[in-house]
Amino acid sequence: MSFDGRLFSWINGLAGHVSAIDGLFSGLADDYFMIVAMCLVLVGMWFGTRSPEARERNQVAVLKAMASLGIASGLVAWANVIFVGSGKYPGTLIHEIFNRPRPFDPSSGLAVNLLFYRPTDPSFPSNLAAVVFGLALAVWLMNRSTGKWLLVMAAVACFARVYVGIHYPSDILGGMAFGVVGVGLTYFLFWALSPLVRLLRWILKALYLAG
Amino acid sequence: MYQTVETSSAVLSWEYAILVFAAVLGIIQAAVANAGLRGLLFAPGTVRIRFWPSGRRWTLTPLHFSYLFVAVTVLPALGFFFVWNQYNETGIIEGPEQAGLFVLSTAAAGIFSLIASSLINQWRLQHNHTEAQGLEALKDITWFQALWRRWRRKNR
Repeated sequence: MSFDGRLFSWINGLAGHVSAIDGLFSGLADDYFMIVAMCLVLVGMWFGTRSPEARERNQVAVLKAMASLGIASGLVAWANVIFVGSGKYPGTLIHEIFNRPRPFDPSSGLAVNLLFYRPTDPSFPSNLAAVVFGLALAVWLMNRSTGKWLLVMAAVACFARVYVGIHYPSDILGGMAFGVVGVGLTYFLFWALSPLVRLLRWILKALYLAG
Repeated sequence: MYQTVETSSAVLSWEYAILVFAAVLGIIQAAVANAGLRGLLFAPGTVRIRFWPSGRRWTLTPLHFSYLFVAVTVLPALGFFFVWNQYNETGIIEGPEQAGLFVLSTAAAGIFSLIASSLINQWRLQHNHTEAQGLEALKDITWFQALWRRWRRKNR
């Protein structure tokens, strides 16, 4: 068995012993819970600082986090369409990687404690990991104190996805890589389109919605 | 562990949108109370309660009200999201739709907060003045007052 499979079996093997802990991780692995919670943190950052300078900096971080979330999610969808959906790469390694069945699929040969519904899309990469790490990293680069908590939330959500049996650890790493690329592209776009960003901030400030 | 209920996609979308609306409304109140943006608060100001016969006093500041508001909006909404997949196993809101609904609900909650807080604080803050720009101005005046003063300055 591969290291990935062994690590998955070890983490997923923790499930099924204490129902309260299983319930907790099922909730943390939810498709909506953690991403909504992290977006609520962004809403709080937009308004919730006393110093106007710190607030303006936070608002830029929020804009970057939103852009990064969208770009990371778009990259994952694009990669799936290109490497799996287009049918251009059948039988190649890249197609096999991006078309990998979920761990609970009988072809994996693993004994899985499945605590979640059965997603039908391929396992690699984890879309949630791409999105939450993209968001958290974008904030962390501008605001370490809030960013580190967002990174913790992202890590917990990703661990929970392995714990409930719907992702391999390498899916999470793949998702994180997409998130990092998303943040890189976001920072590049914000640098390249800085006059537009400044205009957007000026409009929002003129309407008393930012600043 | 939980009972699964099949729900139509439109109902799921509405559920999601309403829960996000409630949660964002609560978070905005907590954040503006923390930042001292009085013009955006729903709370009427500081309320002092004196208990009889003990004479004990409670002072409820806008921050206390905002925490109460969080308790009745954000916590239940997050609770629903926590068990969402267990109740709605067959109904999934796809990523792009989820993002669109989140943005729409957040915008709706933001607009509702701006309008409601402007109406609630209209008389309390009507004699205040500020030279501050952007959100910072809403520490002393409401959003409607800020827009009105800008429009008057421009047309003077």
